Amino acid sequence: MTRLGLPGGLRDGLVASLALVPSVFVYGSVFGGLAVQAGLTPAQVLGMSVLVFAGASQFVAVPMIAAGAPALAIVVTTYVVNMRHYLMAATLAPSFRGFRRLWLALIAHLINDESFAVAVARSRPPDAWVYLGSAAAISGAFVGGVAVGTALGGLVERPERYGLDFAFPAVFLALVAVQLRRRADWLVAIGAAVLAVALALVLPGNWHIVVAGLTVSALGARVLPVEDAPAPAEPHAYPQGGA
Amino acid sequence: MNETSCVKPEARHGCAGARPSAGGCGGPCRGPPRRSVSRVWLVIGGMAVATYLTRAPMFLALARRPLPPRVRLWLRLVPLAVLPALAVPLVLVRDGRLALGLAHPPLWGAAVVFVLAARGVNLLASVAVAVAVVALLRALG
Repeated sequence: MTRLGLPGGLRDGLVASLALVPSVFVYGSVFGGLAVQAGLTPAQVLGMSVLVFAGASQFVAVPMIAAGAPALAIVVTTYVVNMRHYLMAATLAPSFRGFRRLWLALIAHLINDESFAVAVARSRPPDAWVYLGSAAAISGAFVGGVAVGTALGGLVERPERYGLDFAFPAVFLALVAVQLRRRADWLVAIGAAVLAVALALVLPGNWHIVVAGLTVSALGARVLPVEDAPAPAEPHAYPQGGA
Repeated sequence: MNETSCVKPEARHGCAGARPSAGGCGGPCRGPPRRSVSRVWLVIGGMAVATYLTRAPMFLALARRPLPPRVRLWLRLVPLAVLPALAVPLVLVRDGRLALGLAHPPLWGAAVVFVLAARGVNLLASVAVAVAVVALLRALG
């Protein structure tokens, strides 16, 4: 691959990510436990975590699957929740010149919020090997956490008694709360919430999520000052737990 | 609960399974897992492809220039719009109608998790406290 192919950057990325490993592990195990509770098999939960590997969208999909939402609605919603990857992929790409395309195709799958944040915090442009070291740590912690969670999740009976069904909306609300920085952010979030509630009362099959999310964000992007755009290498997405 | 709504094989094209949104969070649709297994795997496969399409194209193109500012702004706003669009109906809409009463435990749980997370409390700790609040209110109610 490249002449930088030494373990130094890899090790730096791994070490720099260790602080995030416990929270990603717990996040994964909470997801695994709740997904099993919602009726998915352990194989499905693990399979989803390896094949999709995007925590927030997996939290989104599980209650939709449990509620019998149309497959297309779930897939489109997943796509929209994960559109933030375009930002990260565009920022990371130049650092990976010289890698073979087969490797690039595999590495692309490991793009995640935490490793992106670690890599751009250490250098701009981010170093490919630091990023890879971090991705190894984060993906291992997430999938390992999911495995433990699926094993534990089957032990709880009547989850609604412990309020566990509320964990899904609670995770989403927490993810929004930590991202609201400017007044415009609040406008977008509140506008989307109001439109979604109105649409949820009339639209079938959970389409209110995608329709309200895309409409209000596009409107915001047209109307808001362009200075609100994140700098190319700004860690803009979920500060934690977005794996 | 109409169990067939989550296990219908015809639902795999995303139309036959359509039904009024119940705002179902963790909905109790638990038909025998055996029957819905292939549909769930189909959904997982679709999610995997959709997610890969958000990661690979820009990465494989080895973009030389950053995305235009308006596009970056939009991509930053998408999760800010999607997450409330997802969460708030889960809290406020029950069985196709608004649930706004103060005796509705998720309303209190939502307020708790939002305030805690906004104040910088660890994400999972905020969620755990909110879940405990909902459980407690349900036990009392």
